[in-house]
Amino acid sequence: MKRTFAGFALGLVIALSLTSLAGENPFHIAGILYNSAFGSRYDLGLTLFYTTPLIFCGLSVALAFHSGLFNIGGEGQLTMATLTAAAIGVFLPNVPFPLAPLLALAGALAMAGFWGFVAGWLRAVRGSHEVIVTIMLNFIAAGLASWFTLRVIPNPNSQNPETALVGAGYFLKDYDLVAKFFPDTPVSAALVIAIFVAICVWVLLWKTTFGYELRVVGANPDAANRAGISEKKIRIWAMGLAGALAGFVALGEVMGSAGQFKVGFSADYGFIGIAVALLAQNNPIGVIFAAFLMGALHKGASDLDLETTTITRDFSKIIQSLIILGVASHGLWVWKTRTKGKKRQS
Amino acid sequence: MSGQPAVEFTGVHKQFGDCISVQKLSFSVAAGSIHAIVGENGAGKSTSMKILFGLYPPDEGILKVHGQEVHFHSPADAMNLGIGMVHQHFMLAEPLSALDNILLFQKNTKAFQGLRRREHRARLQKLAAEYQFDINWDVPVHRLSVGTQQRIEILKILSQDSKIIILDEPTAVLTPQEIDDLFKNLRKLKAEGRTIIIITHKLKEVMAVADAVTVLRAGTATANKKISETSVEDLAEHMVGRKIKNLSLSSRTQFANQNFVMKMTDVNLADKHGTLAHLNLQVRTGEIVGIAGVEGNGQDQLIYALLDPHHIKIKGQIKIKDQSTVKLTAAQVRALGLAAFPEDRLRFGVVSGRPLYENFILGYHNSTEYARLGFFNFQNIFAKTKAAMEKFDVRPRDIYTQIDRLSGGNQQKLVVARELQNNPDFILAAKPTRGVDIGAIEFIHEQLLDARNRGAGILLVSSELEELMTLSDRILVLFKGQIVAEFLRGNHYNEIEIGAAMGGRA
Repeated sequence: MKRTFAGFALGLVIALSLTSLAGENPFHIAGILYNSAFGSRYDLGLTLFYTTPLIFCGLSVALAFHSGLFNIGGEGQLTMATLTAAAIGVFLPNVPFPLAPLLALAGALAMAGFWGFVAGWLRAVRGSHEVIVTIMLNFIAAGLASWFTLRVIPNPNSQNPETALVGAGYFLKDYDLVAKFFPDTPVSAALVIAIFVAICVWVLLWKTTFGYELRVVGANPDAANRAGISEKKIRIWAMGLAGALAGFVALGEVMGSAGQFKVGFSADYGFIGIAVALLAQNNPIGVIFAAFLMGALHKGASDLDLETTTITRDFSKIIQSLIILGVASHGLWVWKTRTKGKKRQS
Repeated sequence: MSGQPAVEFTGVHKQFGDCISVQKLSFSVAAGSIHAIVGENGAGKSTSMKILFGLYPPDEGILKVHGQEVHFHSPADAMNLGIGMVHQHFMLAEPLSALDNILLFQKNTKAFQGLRRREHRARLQKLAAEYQFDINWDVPVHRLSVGTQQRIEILKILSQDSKIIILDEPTAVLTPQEIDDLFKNLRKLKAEGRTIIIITHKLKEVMAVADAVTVLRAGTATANKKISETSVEDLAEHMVGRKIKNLSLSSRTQFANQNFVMKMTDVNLADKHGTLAHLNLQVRTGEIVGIAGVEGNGQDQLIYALLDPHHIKIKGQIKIKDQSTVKLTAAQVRALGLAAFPEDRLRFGVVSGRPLYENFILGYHNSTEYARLGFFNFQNIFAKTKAAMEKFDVRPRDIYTQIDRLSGGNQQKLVVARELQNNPDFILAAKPTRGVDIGAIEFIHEQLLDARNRGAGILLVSSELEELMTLSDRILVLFKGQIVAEFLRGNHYNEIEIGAAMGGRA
């Protein structure tokens, strides 16, 4: 863990140093990032708003990874989930409060779970690689979502590619203490639920027989088969669950803030989720913190456009990449010591 | 060269992290001799040879080759000095032909330099003929037998005209006949003045072929002897550091009973790697049935047919405790009370990177003892693991240690403890002592005999004839998927006859 954060810090420092090539003072840039991410309650609220979907997507990647699968499909899964939640809210606008968000969430999770299940099933039964399949499913989801948004339930009051608003009963707002603590920001109770879900995933992985079977399949599928654990079944379930976890993004987006599905609402949450899981070394609790760091970075970079002339918000991508490299170098270190250890035997 | 040792280790020390692999190791190998290095797993055999081959630099100490102090930076340096090594796991490019594999190994070839294949082929064929190696040069090497693959490895080294040849566990995969051939060749190489170092744990072979032997224990040499001055028992004692019991077989009851725990009737199956044909096989209660045979003659198929029948198309009948199993999944078969020691521990038996207690419950993790409603009862798991590690003397005795940190012997003991935890009625023991040190072998054999005397039926699949002859009440020889011979335990088994049957000459 320590080394992971050392890798994180290293990546950040190198990235900031790069800004001096553009004639900026790295300390000044660091200051902007910091202030933009945590400078005020409003800024912090926005940071936490970005953190929420990153927790869900990080958990999705981490869970799949424990079963030996790489879920690059978070983006498609969360798109399908958010679209489904919005569609339920638009088609059934009169459902009363406690039932409405639950219904939308259930629909969202089921749809995202199905999106993950398809990849898991194809992998387990047909042997198609989940990386390829999930990437393709991302495109399918994006296409479906655009069509559905523009042709089936478009927002009549807007020129933007977005769905109509869901019924009033779907919003968490009036009951949402998190949102009340950060007024004027889109952050919502979904953050608390994200943390709760992370703890649930941790319990699932480390305290239950299902989590054990999942990890055994991920670590050594041959041994799992011998032990009577069905690799196929576990892999299908793992991808389904991973999809559902990414599907939780709908909660914060539709019920927590926007009340609709907007095409392109996701700032690549599904992909940043991969970095989050990597940073957290697939530990569900670590995912919470890693998501917070990535969320802060995302928010922090948003002010770079305004405050400097030479550095744009795209710079956050450079920082992210360097951080991933920094963390991955930790992996290299582990790998080196491991192979040394292996050679030692006999 | 006379009198000058070919290889000399003086106070060599090598440490990986906190783990000392080789310490103050001193021994010398006389030029033009066959020198055996024996020791248990983790004693430092391979490490010391890898130091000699330039794979690891020593931390301390002096290494001399033909009297010259050397500092190798890579195997290339060692090869330039005429040292060649045949690794235990062959370093062959499997889809390439024998010819290409050897050409791959030629030094002094520059990039884009023309490869005079025909010349090389003629040269290599001549070389092979000299040693009566019969090699098919143009077939992908993975289609050749392991014996042939080994000869290709040796040819690789001979083509470099190496004077010092290191062989790491060369007999592990060979039939008795092939071992004989190998030894003949080793003697021939010796007669040419080459120095041969073989790493092995088979003491009988040491006695048969070597001139001198160095015994390693815990990274240091506990004995340097001439073969004429030692015996198998003596070497074993030096390896383990104590006397080894001889398992007594006299207390065996005749198996009058006809209670079969496992019965295979006319079983036929075929998969990518092999077949079983008209297999009839029974295991009674209180009986150990040994399956002998050279690897790849249907053992894997037999194991799969028993453990995971659901995935293969099986013609015929398999019954475990009167339950037909041909349609069952792995989990269902296990539920019948079958315990299995996996033939390849690291691949099938343990989950690396995970603590011992997680490995201890593998396959038993759904039992009510360990889990309720899908949630683990860690108190029970820890207690059971601890108790089993106590009983089976698994070290270090720390249930939170990662399985990888254990020696092969201790890993296997944990696997054996796991599989025996419910007193199974039928045990499939596949290569139960593969890659396991002598002390642990003895222990595992005792456990198998205990289980047998308790009334369990045991099917023992092994490539170690010695092990089969020690433990089995009956030995069946598997050859090309068929049982070609059966040997009953009289006073003793005839090794030659069994060996002949293994080679298909029943």
